[in-house]
Amino acid sequence: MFNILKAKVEPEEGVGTLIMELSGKEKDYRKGIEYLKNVGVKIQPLEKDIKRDEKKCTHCSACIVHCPTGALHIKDRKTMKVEFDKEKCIACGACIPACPYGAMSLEF
Amino acid sequence: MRIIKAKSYLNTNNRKKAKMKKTYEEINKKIKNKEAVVLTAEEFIELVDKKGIKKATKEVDVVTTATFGPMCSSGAFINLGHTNPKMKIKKAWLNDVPAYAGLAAVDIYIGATEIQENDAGNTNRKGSFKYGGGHVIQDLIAGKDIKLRAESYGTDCYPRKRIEKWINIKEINEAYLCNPRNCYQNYNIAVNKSKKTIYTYMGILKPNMGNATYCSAGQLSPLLKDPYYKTIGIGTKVWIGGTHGYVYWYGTQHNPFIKRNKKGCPIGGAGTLALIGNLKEMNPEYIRGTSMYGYGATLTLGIGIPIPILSEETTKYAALKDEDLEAPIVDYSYDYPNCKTKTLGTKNYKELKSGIIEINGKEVPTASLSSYPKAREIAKILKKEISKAKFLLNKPIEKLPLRKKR
Repeated sequence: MFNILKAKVEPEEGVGTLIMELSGKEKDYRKGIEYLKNVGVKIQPLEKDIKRDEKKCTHCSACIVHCPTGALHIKDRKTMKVEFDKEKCIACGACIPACPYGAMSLEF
Repeated sequence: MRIIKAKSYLNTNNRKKAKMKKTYEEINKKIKNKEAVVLTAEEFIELVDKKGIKKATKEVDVVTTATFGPMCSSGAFINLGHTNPKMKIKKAWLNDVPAYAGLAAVDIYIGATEIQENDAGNTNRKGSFKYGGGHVIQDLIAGKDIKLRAESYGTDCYPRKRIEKWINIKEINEAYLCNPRNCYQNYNIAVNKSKKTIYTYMGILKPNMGNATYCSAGQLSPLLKDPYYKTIGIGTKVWIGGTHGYVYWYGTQHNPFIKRNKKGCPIGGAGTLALIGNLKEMNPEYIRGTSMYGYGATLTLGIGIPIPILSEETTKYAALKDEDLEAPIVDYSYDYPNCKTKTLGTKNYKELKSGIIEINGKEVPTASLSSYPKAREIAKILKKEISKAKFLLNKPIEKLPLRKKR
């Protein structure tokens, strides 16, 4: 399955760029990537990351109710500190406007 | 001889001693000698649970309270010093954020919630409000150069009409935080009963009560631990933004005349403090420009206030716990903007901090705007300062009003 995030065609330069999300079985993914390489398409892995600036974060917890996967959560209700589990993050970006201190950002 | 009455004065003396009040002078003497017993509000709660009110009153001298949250009614007075030739500033901007200049020639006031001149606000779509007065104040404290732009109509003694220059906190004259309303004694729990997401000063509120936001340090919060203002008053020395300041007046909207629960906790925003402190001594770690998406810019402040343990009554209130302190649930989609006083019930801070509350049979996740970990940090910092005799307590010059002021 694929999801096109961005498409840009530059006819003067004779090139085009597609930013895509690919999902499926690893075996099929590798076959697909191999095919594209063979027909001359340049492949560059791209990671979309939500980053938390630890200096800006005050652990207020305003973000946790907006995170759909619980990546941002309070693990220990005694310390009340907000943990950020990157494994659970799907980079939806909902935390970005929710943070009053601009601690959350999206980077490609 | 017939004995009609006999009374032992020994017992009466003991009873009098137990109720005897300590004084600020006695406590300060102990602080100066580094003999004072100082606990944070959380530590004090544990001690009172373990040893009871009498023993805790005898053993402990000071309890430190603290809070770290957005406090919109804040701003700083700045005296810029004169240019050559001199100028009587009529309008001023700091990093394109308008500052009020209607006092004297070079005195200005930068308000926490003022936004940049070219910020469209919520006109076309919900604004991000990434830079406002609060951010100017944070940048100033951090030692960053700030762009000053000023205009004037010119006078014979102050002929200059325009100026644009960089200023820095090291070069300007006085700069002090002068906040008309800080340290709200309790606040609302905000929910959204409508079908659309709303953007408020209590954060982003999801439809159909999708989330609830509260804003208080609960059992660490200053005025919640001195609910009848017995120790915190005008003239009380406070820890503010990393330095020492004072309560200079009761804050705007100070309203002690509000329904209280059995523990004396007002159920809703009640008392407030007007605070002052030297910007030049502050630390940007504890005073932050803040952006509320779709609402506006503001300033988040870290404040610590010590409570002298003068009597068993002081102990009783200073030992109040999260479960004793409750706040009202208010709908911010219709009731709050339309001045409706009804609430959807109350919840205490223990319930709020659990992460989920129940409202009319629905489970609603909770979040805070006020940082409890930061409040805890500040309470510990203040405890350390007092223990090292770097902070002495002030007896208020005047008590905060306990009745509604006209």
